[in-house]
Amino acid sequence: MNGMALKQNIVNGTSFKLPMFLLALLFTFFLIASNIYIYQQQRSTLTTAFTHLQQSEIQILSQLARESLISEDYALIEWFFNRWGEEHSEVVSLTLRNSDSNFLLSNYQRTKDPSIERFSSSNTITHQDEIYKITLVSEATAMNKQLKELMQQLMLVSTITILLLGISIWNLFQRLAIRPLLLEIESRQKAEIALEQSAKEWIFAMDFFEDAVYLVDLNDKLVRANLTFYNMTRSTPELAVGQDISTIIHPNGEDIPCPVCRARNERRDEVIIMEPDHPDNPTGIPIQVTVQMIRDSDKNPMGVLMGIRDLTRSREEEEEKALLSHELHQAQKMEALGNLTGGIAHDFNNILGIIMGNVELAKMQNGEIDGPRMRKYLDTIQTASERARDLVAQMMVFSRKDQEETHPMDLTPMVKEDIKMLRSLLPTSIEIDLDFQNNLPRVEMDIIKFQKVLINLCLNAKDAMNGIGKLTIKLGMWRDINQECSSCHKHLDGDWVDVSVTDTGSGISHGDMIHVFEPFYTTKEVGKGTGMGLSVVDGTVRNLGGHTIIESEEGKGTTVHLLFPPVLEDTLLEDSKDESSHHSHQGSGQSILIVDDEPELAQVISEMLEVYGYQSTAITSSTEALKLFESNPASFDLVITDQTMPQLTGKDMAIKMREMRPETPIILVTGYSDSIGQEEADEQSIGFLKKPVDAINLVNLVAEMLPKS
Amino acid sequence: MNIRTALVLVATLLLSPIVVIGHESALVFGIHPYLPATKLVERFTPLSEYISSQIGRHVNIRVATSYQDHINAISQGEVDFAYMGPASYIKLTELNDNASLLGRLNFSGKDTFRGAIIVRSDSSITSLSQLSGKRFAFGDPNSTLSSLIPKRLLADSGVGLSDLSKYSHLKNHHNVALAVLLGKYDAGGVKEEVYKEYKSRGLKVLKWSPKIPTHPFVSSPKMTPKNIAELRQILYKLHLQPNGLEILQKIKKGTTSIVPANIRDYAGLRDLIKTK
Repeated sequence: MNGMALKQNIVNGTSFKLPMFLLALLFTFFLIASNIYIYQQQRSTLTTAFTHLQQSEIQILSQLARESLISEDYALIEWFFNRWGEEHSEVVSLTLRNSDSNFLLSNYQRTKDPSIERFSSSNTITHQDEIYKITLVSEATAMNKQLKELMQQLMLVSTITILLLGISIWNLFQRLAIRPLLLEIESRQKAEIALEQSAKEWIFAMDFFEDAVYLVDLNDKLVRANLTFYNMTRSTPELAVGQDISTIIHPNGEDIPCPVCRARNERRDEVIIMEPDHPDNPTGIPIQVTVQMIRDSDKNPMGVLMGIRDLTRSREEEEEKALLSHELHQAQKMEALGNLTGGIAHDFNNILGIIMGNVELAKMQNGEIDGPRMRKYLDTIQTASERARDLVAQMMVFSRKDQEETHPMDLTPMVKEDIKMLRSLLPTSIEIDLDFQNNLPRVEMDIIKFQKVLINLCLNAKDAMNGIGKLTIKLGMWRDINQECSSCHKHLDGDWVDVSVTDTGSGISHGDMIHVFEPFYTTKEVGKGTGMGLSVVDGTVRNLGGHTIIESEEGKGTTVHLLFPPVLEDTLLEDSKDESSHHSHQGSGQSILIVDDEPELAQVISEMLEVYGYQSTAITSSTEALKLFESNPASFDLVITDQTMPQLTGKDMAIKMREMRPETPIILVTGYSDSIGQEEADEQSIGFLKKPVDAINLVNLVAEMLPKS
Repeated sequence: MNIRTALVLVATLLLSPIVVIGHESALVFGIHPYLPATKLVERFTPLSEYISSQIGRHVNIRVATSYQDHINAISQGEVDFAYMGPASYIKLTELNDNASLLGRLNFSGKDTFRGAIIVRSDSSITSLSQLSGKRFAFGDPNSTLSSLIPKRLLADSGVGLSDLSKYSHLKNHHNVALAVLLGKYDAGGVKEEVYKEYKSRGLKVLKWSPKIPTHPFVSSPKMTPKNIAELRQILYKLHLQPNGLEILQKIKKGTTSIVPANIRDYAGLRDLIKTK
């Protein structure tokens, strides 16, 4: 508790003093009044008793006096009265006076303290027509003694009562007023002990830190530092405390204040990272220096708390974390692929059934090759094959590693393509509702990543709905958005292309909402989840420059918005030109070498090219093809080769052919390859086609790569 | 304390004079009633105790109801020894001449005292003869100074009892003095000691009596000579005891000793009383 609180407590305690004092005063007054009342009552009783006693005595004396007067034994009266007076110490005077002659027959007198209260009684005796008056005056000695003893007892009782009351009031006061203070003192003592213990713990904790932590006052003098600081600066508390921090950090001096010293001198908070080669970094390791001003309640600087952190380990950890994240991403992707395979296998078998059935039907035509029925069978086979190609292409997308290949793209056809596959993945009990806005601007997009993100979102939605519900996919513009990213909490404004997936599932609770973007976080049972985690989805979206907003209501469903910035129109013009240049070309007998370890495939490509006016040579071994090319490099105008082949890959073969004849156009056809992609192929001026190859794309690329005549 | 010591103590107690006192009959010390009985007991107790301690017997005080009773008690041996008025002693000798004088009071060598006829200070009476037709208070009829002598003085002045309008015998001198002060009587007879006691309250002397011998101690006829001799020695040596004077002063203020008495000392008084 601070001084003000203590003062307030004291004030509170003092506030009890007056009521306690008044209570004690009131009770004391009550006791005194009671004592006076009791005393007066007792005094009255004693006075009455004393008076009665005196009356009784005087009656006895009167009787004696009368009899003595009758017998004329006057001496007996005198003697008896004197004796009575002597025997009764309270008697002040006892007289018998003849009222007629005013003669005192008996006159006992005793010297007494006049201040003592006296009682007087008298009686008259008539004898022989003469009146005698007996007067007895007594001190109220006995009564006073009794009253004195009574008063002493009352005083004693009162004193004891007041003492007990005082003790009670004191205890009460102590309980109400002083007790809190005593408790406060005790609390403070405990607090001091705790503070001392805390200080020790702080020092221990500070020493435990691997970061160097030190406190500098406004005069740049070191106030306190932890063990790491002293180890780092090779100093000790005895030598360093009170010294200028610059001389400790820069023992050799510095011509120009380092960034850290400048931040400290300018009283501003700053975090500075210094690489090992930084001229002001004396440690030789990457460090992060934190300058944190300590300010009072009025924001005035009181000192500087500084920390030096060795970034070596954190950087290693970041690398490890990135690697782990990638591996996690890949593992989740493979898990999703496994789930995809089951769904796609069904469609693929259907396609194979269509192809095989139509082939069988074609064979039954008995030489009617150009007949309309044959044409129908072949068209059906071609359509089924294209469906199979698309499915495989989508599977390939999932199996490929992420590559930074973004292009301005229209999301609408991409989403439509993805929905084809989604229909195979989702049970028929889930209704799919589509809502596409027309003329959307393009976005800078990696088609593969986008597909993965969208499909995984839909798979997550399926899991959330337990296989029954409605899945809504919307594609549109979210204009003048005024929202906060659910992941990075960055405020978003302007126009964004919005791809949203809404389910009618269980929704996300408030407690789960704050964790959904954490890696490895899931509410699904083990083995039940099929999609990637939202952390991976969000990471992918943010890599694409987008943001994620989640709207969920528990029990009603969840909507995940994927927001992507639209691409400016002038960028699109260039791309549209590229696309508009795509068209088919007719060959003019150019010689083309076709290399593929699959003979049928090599044969199909060969026949396709011949249909379009080219001469072709199909070889199934890359080594033999290289030998053939080596025998006469100029004999082939273009080489089309598969990538994945035994002994010698298409890429390696192409490199060797280029070594023999650098201007040789080469088209690399690959179904799945990690070793070469479009980008690398472009760098080496090698044409790139993905299997399965359709005739139009093939001849267009061939025509493009052949030298223009 | 061992058993032998305890037995010795018990034996000592059994043989002590106290036990002897308990076994022998007590002596009776008679006092004539010139004062209230309790006052007399108070005055004479120290002396009786002293005698008891010396003689080895209990001494009981007996206050007579009247002077005559006192004389009779001595004469008849109801008391063993007595203190009495001079006139009473003379009457005793008339009844029984076996009573022996043991001694009489002495006041620093003075062995007589006197009485007076008193009146109130405001009384107009200036002579005894004026008492004729007045009220007179006497003491006990056998009292020397309050009764016998006053009567002689009145008679000498020509006032007989029959000349008085009223007279009474009160119990003692004090009653006489108080009765006069109260105005119950116009005059009365008291000894000098009593007059002085009440003088300040309004008395004056009308006539002083002649001096008469002091009060004697006498033994009853039943006392043996040995006992009489022993008592005399005790009384004579009283003033020599450490508390002797105190005992004597208690009996009467101014008493310094008890001296031997002789019947001749009272001859003049006898004549004074008998002539009337």
